Amino acid sequence: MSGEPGAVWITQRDPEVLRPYMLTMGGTRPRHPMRYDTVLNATGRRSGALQPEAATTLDLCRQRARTVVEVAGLLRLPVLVTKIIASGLIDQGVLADPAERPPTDPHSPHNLRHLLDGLQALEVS
Amino acid sequence: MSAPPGASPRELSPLPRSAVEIPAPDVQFKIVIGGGFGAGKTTLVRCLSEIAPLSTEEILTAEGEQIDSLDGIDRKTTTTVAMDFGIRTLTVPVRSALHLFGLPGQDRFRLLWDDLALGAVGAVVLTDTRRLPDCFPCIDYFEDRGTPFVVAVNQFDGAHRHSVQAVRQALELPTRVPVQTCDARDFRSALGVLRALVLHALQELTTPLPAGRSAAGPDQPTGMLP
Repeated sequence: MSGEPGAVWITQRDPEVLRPYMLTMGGTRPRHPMRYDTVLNATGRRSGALQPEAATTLDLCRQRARTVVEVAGLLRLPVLVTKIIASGLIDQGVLADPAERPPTDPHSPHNLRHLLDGLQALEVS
Repeated sequence: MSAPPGASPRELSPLPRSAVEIPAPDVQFKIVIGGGFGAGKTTLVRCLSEIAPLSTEEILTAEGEQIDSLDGIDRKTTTTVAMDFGIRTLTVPVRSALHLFGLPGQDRFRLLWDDLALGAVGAVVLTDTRRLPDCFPCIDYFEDRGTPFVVAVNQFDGAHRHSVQAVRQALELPTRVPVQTCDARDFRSALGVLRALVLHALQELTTPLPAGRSAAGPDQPTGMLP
């Protein structure tokens, strides 16, 4: 600790402050590759005991499928921390592995026509 | 990890499939919204999103003022420092999710752009005619990437109205890039911009492009990246 008078560790003054690696149980990178808008789907399986942030992540994804960036925003956590927490939940089998979801090809005319029809339907609704 | 002591048998029984109340649609699209500081990206995402849009905003500090010029945007007191995100669910012809990302405006957040633009259907470049050059970096970026984009001229109150043709000339845009006016606060107007973009993306796929650039561009889906 610094010898300067009045200098304290921030965690001593404010017990609410947690280092990111505390939230990730020491993890520094997600084992499962994820992007900002990777969708997290709950599998419906039960989980073991979870850290509060992981439990909240799972609760959110049980309400409805959520994207990584949404969970990060709702939990007010850095995106990378959220990815590591979600990765742990995928390992436990309580969130589906996003790698098993085929991505939608944004360069397929068929898909783009679907998108166009969907937007058109919104306009007349 | 083990179950917490005292957990009841009910809590330990497997949850039914229906515990996931609203599963994700199998089909998901992404559109990114770019543009200069204060061009209306956050407004556009909020206007189109059905979820409370997530954005991280920060009040400009004296330090920020050196980076974010306030010329002509005197009434805007905050700037978006992270990304805006919104979702719109489409039900026709199949249930699908449209993800909307506002790109962080300032150059120091450019690293995020690659991550956000990957796999996008295309991009909307919002412009404020009072500060037209602000959208140059965005236009250059999407042109280089081969990402289909439209330019939407946000009609701000009090801003001088320029013709679409004048904006096109000022931005030196090729004729195939659509330019249209919009009101980022108005749902139908915002929706019109998205439709113009998707139509344009579709035409880019089916119309031969100048040599040296593939129709799909470098933006091919490569699966999940680390």
